[in-house]
Amino acid sequence: MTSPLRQRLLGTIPTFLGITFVAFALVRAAPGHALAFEADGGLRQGAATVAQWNEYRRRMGLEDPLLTGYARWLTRVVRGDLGDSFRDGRPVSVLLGEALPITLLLSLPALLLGYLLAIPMGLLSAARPGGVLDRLLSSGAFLLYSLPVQWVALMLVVTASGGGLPIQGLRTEGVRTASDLFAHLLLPVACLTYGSLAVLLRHLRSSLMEQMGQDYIRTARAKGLSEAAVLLKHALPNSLLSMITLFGLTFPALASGAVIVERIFGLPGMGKLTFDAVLGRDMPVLMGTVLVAGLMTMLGLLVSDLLYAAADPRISSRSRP
Amino acid sequence: MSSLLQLAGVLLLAVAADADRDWQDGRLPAAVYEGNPRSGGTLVVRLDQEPPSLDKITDSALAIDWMLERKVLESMAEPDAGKHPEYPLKPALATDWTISSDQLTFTFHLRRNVVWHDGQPFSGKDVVATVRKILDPSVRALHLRNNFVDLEDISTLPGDDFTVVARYRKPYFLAFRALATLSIYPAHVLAGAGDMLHSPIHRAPIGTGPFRFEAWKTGERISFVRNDRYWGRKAYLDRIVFRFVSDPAVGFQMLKQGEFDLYLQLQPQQWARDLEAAGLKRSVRRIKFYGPNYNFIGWNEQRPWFSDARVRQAMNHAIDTEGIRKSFLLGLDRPTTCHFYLDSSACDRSLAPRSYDPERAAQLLDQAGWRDRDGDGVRDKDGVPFRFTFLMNADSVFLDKLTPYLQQELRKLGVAMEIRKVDWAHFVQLVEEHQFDATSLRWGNTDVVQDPYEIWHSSQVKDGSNYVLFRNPQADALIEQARAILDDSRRNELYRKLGRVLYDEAPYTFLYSRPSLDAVSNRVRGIRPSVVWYDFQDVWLAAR
Amino acid sequence: MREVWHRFAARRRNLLGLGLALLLALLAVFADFLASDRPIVLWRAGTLYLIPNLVDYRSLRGFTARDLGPADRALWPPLRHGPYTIPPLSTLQGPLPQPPGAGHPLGTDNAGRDTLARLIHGARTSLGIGVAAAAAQVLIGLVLGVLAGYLGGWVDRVVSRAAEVLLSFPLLLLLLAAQGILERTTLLSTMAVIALTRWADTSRLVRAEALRVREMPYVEASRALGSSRLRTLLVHVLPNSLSPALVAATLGVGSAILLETALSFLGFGAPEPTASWGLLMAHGFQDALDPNARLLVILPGLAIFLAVSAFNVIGEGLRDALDPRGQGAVERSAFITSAQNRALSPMPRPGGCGPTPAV
Repeated sequence: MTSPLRQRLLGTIPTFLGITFVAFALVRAAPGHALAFEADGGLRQGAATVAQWNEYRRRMGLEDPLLTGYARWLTRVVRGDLGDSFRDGRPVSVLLGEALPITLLLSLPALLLGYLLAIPMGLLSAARPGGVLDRLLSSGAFLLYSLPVQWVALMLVVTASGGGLPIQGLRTEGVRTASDLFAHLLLPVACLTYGSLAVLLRHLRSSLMEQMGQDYIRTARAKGLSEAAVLLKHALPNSLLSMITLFGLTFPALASGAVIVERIFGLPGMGKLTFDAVLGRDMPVLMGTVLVAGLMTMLGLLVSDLLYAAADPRISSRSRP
Repeated sequence: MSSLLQLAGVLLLAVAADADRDWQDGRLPAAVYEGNPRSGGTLVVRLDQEPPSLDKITDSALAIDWMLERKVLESMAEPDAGKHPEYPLKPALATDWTISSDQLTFTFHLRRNVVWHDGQPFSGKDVVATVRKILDPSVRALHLRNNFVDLEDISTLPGDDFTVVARYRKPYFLAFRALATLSIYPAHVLAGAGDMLHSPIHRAPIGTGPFRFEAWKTGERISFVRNDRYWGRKAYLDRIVFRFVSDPAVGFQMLKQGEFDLYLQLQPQQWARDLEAAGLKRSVRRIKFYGPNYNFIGWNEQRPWFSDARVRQAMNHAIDTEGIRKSFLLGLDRPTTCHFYLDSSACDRSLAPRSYDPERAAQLLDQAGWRDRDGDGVRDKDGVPFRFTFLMNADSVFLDKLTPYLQQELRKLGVAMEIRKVDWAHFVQLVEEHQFDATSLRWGNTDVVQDPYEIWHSSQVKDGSNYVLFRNPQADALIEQARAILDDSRRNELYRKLGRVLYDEAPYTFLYSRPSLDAVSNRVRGIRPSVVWYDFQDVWLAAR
Repeated sequence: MREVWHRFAARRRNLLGLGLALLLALLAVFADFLASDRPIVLWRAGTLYLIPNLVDYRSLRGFTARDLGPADRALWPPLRHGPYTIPPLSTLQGPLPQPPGAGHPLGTDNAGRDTLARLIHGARTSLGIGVAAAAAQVLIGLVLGVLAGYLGGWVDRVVSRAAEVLLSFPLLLLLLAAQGILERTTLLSTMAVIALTRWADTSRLVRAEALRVREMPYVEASRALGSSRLRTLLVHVLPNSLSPALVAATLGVGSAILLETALSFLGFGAPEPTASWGLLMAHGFQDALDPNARLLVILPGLAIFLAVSAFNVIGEGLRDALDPRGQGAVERSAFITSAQNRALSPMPRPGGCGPTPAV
């Protein structure tokens, strides 16, 4: 197990280098000033940005050759220095440290909720494939899934704020209770969950169906077990294993944040950080978010490999689909 | 699905008319200023954007001025917010000042009982250190440095730390005002602040003002608390909290929920209609205020199409600016033809916007030699078709309406216009490098006194803001002459002449001065809108 | 083939989705005949003009309905508004956007243009983006996936790494680069970015299929019989990879439409005067509390919802029909393509399958 693992770990390094290098090159090539902060078509008189930006570019080493710049970034990162934000001068690691917990606070409950809802729904669907309940559940999840997220978010804001639910931020000022946090998370987590639910449900259902056609299920049935028992005791554990295998692949998404939901609900997570960094051409911050994505990708690939191998010994780690 | 639709249907609200005026320039109804002020309470303010820092030295974002000026940081003198529209200077950290007869030496006498928020005493050394920091080339302070290019020397008198003397090489009308209104930073903190970006005061300013910085929760809020050691009358409010809510619909819902005492930058529709429709008329007052800003369309004079003033005038006549104002902007914006603050005497109010007159536009284009010679529906001259690209920044609500209208109107005149949309950072770069045929922007300022040099002088096409490459000897002479005149009325006379030149040459199609549309809760008393934004020192909260 | 169709048609839901998609496609193709401010046929001053709604006759420049003389005859589309026409501003009554009423069955947008006309023509833009981006992404993915799976070796390694890189790459960063290269955000740049980031999904599942097929006895047999690698590739591997690609393409349409909506919302949409559902909705959002403007959110939202669910239903149905026992590569992952797109999380997840919490 160790040797293929090490091999795989080494195998993810080119991916990591690829992600970060392409990002580095693109950010450098992207047109625009990093110092033009004020949006909405207004400029302040006296804010002479051309000269300032040129001076800044030189000082920040943005005029150096691409490979030199990338190598310098990489060596700094290895030493644990992610640089400082162009925009506000704070260390990128601090910015990431602020944004990442908020994103996880949204994505982890959403993921958990997705699984928690999908499992009973998947079981109900698979219990009688093609039945009324099956069709209702799968179509319902499907239709939800086809709704644009900003549309749903707006409708939630308009309807829920009438009921006094908070629609902005993570906490009421000065309130530190768990129930307050819960109320603030309700709407954004709902927005994050409804779309992935369809995907999870679909997966679990087809996996269950696949299991139900296997020989060992037939054996179990022949032994006289009830259909419910067969489903719960034999098919479900195997299907869950395959669901867990997928878990590793969700790693990068867990940490990357969701631009639209964060924007509407005013949550300063990774999505907002990335979006602002893109708009502000804040290169160190952008590279920081790319770094997180790259690391999570590496980790995800590894974890899914391990789980995959553990779940299905027939698959060698080489021919991962 | 259907339930969502039903809910949406229930929420369809009646459109209310924009009827009564509950605001005036500079003053709200008398009730706002009645009653005995009481101390206490937190004022919650909505801002639509988070500033990059709380550092006036390195950043020029408007929100920083709003939050800090006259609240946290103070200057030697400040514009008198109560004296609209002239805003003369009144004493702040300086008790009085003198200007030498050659207008080159300014002497400020400072207050002696002032302490910084961290307890250190204030003196003239702080003023000198602040100016020196701005002049330090390793500090990102170009936007302020421009005001001090002709400064020869600034120092305190020997043995008197409370008298500051500044000497200039040339008389310049803005020199005094820029120095007098410069936000002063503490010398003992500046000494170790380096390029400012990595210093704590970059995000946690230390000043002398009636409020001191409390906390910044990134992405959510910045708060200030009352400075109980303030040299003047202490503020009434315990705290001010600025909350950042970027989505206008979400912000408005929060206003309905009573989350804000002061809501900045309502959408025009929200201000004109939704407030009343949402039943908020009784709990909030609307404020409409015109600052020194204007929108314009700029025509790049180095492009073959726009080198002739007649063409630029024709563009002016081709657009129904009054129709745009009424239907796209709900009639809230003020039409303008002037570069300066519309209420100041620098503007010649007799220069009316050019009328919507497509026939006149066609005539002017014909006269300038742009005719459709090859019959393809597009005018041409010397083999060049009149086919240009309009550069706009993404995210502009106004331009999303203006550009398709412009395109349609110009097509009728035989002028083909394409629209190019790029994001703001890219947009600014293209505009500064003159990489556009035509574009639209807004100029904004926080002071009513301003120098048109940077925008209209021919020397400013390179590193200044003369983006449209306007070069006119008469305009240059007027601008240079005015720079040496410290007397407002004499200088404004020259500016009215400059206005005439700009009107005839039409390098810009001047559009509108845009109001700031705010709403303030009824419990907020003593608040005064002004060009230099709100002061919170006199603000108090009535009991609920 | 017939078998597949029977299985597909056996479910009413599939037929419903197909019908809806066809209807929307017709709307897109014949938009000019349904909503235009120019007639379909015009008899004017002794001349017969055919389809002036499509053809730009020089003698008809500047022609409007008001120029119609008493002797002229015209056959008009059912809706006499084009998607781009802003009426003379002096004739506008009341604030914009206007509520539904005479002349404008669904009201106007915030520049005074007819909402219904923009919705109809928006079908063309949105479906166009969806279909083109999906087709491009699947084509790239198909070619690269087959090559990687069949040839193996370094080709496989390069393609797989490239796929991993792209899938975990910030989408907005790519858009920005595209903006710089193409000098503007256009429909083309939007499509290009969608296609360029999304081919990796298809390539992964096609690669898996190619790997499987490669080991099949008949492929080995044909190779043993001396047929060239290229021939084997074309005859055996490619056709077998087509079904997962087809499913991915169908599902890709829906996700590309959703992505266009999201990009418009964030200000990276196509420039004016393009009529697209995403832009229409984004404009509605600018004042979502105004009841008329909210119609601009609700209606395009509905249109997007209908189109996306139609294509997703077809895609699902196709998958079931192509792979009735729910096994093999088709089942494995195609649905997920769309799952990632809807999120517009700046860094989409890399896997070929799995849930995507960061919507």
